[in-house]
Amino acid sequence: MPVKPSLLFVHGLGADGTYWGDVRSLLTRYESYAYDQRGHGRSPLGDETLTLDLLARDLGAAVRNSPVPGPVVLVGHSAGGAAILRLAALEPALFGPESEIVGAVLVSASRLDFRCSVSGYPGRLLERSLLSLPRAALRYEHGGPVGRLTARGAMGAIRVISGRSWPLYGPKASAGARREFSTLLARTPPHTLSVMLELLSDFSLPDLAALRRVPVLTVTGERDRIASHEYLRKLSEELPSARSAVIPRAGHVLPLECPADLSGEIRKFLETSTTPKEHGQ
Amino acid sequence: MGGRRKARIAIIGAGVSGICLAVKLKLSGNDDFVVFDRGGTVGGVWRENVYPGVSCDVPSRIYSFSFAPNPDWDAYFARGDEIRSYLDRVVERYGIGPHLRLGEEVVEARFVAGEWRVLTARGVESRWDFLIAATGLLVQPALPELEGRNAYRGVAMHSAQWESGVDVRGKRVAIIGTGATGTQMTCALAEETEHLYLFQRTAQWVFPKPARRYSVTTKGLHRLVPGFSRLADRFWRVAFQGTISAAAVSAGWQRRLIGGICRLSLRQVRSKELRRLLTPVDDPMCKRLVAASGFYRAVQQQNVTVVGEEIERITERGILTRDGREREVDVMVFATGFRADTFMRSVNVVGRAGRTIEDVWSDGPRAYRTVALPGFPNFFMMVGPNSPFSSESVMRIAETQSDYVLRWIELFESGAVAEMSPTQEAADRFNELLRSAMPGTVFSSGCASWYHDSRGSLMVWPWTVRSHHRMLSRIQLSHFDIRQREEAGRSGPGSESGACP
Repeated sequence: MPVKPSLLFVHGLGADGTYWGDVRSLLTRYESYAYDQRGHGRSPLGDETLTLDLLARDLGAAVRNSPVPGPVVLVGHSAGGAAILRLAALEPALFGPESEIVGAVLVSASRLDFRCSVSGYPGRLLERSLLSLPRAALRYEHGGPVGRLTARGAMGAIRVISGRSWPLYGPKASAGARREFSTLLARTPPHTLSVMLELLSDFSLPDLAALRRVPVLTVTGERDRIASHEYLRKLSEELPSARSAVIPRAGHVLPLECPADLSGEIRKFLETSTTPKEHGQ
Repeated sequence: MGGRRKARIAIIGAGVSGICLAVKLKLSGNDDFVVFDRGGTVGGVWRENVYPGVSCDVPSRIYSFSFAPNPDWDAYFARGDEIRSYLDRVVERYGIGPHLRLGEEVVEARFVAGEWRVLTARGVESRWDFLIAATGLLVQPALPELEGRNAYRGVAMHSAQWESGVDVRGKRVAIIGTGATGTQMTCALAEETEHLYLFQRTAQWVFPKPARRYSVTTKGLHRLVPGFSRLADRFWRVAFQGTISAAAVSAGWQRRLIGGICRLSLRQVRSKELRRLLTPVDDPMCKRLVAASGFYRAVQQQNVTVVGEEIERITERGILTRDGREREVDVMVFATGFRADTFMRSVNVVGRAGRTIEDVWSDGPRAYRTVALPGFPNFFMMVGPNSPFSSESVMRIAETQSDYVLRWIELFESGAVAEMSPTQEAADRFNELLRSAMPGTVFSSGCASWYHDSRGSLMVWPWTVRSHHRMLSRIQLSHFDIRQREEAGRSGPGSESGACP
């Protein structure tokens, strides 16, 4: 890795580019940029069907049109991390010590599994009801007055649930951080939420050969209750030389819950990692 | 990259907010802090103000820290001595004593090479990572420019200089000013004095606060039943914030209700002439609402005269008004309030690049979200400019702000940041937001009051108490100019060298 790469931040589901503000403020020594993913913030959804491949191609375009000098290290949270994984399979040539992408940080990047903390039938019921909220909002959004009320109720429920400690956050998250995320989430179009939640609760590991050519850091929260453990285990098997860090007492929304710990890990990674020898060119 | 490191914190002022932060630091496990105060005891405003009748305008249940509910409150609206002993007990219970530096006045604090150098009046210098100005709001007595103030031969003082030795029994007393102090004093002194003259410049609305006291049963319940205190606290908070606080920031039934109660209370004054004299021209709550029990009863006593004439000058024996009448008095009390826009200006605080408070506040006190100042790294204010002191108990404001400061201290100790100060841009954006929200509040309805600074800008919080809490519930790092350990102290022109640990 070059001495001082630039950073490209990719947000997760329901957030936007501003989501990384805290982390970026603690990494001011690096040039960095962030963008709003399709269907989030100021980026419109477009006409194409929303898939992870599409998000990955958007990411590839963001890398090729980088506003900062030199190669970049990608930092992706949750769905943003999933986009990085897909990109590695779709455009492997972008990854490599001499290429555009010289490293990756995968923060809570995993398949979502709402059955992690609650097992058996109650877990399935919970998963189904959580997934049905954005679907209801989407379905009734353009209905009559009653429909609109239903849609608003569903978005309100999403906002309330995502503002509670359970299941998204760890005990470390401040009330302010939770409120910030729930506000962001409730502002996201129901279509994006509904499609992405389906995609994220059912996506498998793509071919990660490209990611083995660059240093990778995976960061997870110790108390993450919605990431699939099985998925994370497979990921670490696929990327044996990746460094991994676990942040104690943190949940899933690391960039808002504990920006200091997260940026500390990223900084350590950037300062000390070198390209994996066996794959170096 | 620096590892974990304990922060050293200097707090200036051992009043309500200073004690609050000290206790919160102690509870979070930090032992490396001191609290400077120029006075000989703790208590701040409650130590300075011991005039007869001094009491709190906020219900006593919510005029206590949420971490230390007080089962011993006697009055529904606590008296000064009750609050003093409550604060003493808090200091005692949480072991703040060893951290107090009483009688040590801080004269200068300078940010040099990544740390605050604090100089006391005795010439002792100490070094700290954080500086907290818990210097209070109503500290600097404001005295009117009256001719002949030195000519007077009797006893004259500002209400904050009242000493317990002053005997007013059977004497003729003049109270100048009808703000919160003058009104409370009138209620307390009306019975004792031979004659009481109350000199009024502007009539004020007086909210009749109940003079009730808690019964032995209630006190017992508070002491013995777990959760009862919390319930009562919740009730009073809702009742207070739902009425008085809400009335201040937006028009609605609350404002009409408070206004109606004040108007109704004024009807107690039977004499039409006196009532006209006591009827304010402004709307209720435009100024800080005066709350007192039995004020209108007191002014109707035989031995009490309300003087609405403007004061011409002070003579050797008493006060001469414009209409040529001289009233002879034995004791003269200036209940003329304080200069509320002083804040910590008694301390020469010097930030990065030699910036002083006078420089940045030349056109009035402005802060970032009531707590921080651009160009003053690792510096926070308690109950600073625009804190919601008009609608919330100072104890709770201090708690909200202490929690915010504690979050910064935690970040510092984790090694993630070494120096932080809000950017000028973030502070400007906040103040712009403040300015645009002011027109909706009752404070901007046109009357002069201490809610305005010397330039006439409003210093109050134009939103709800909740939104203040919300605004400080999370650190928005992107609003701050942050330096990390190895780069801290290197680039600041104010620092002599890069000698930062």
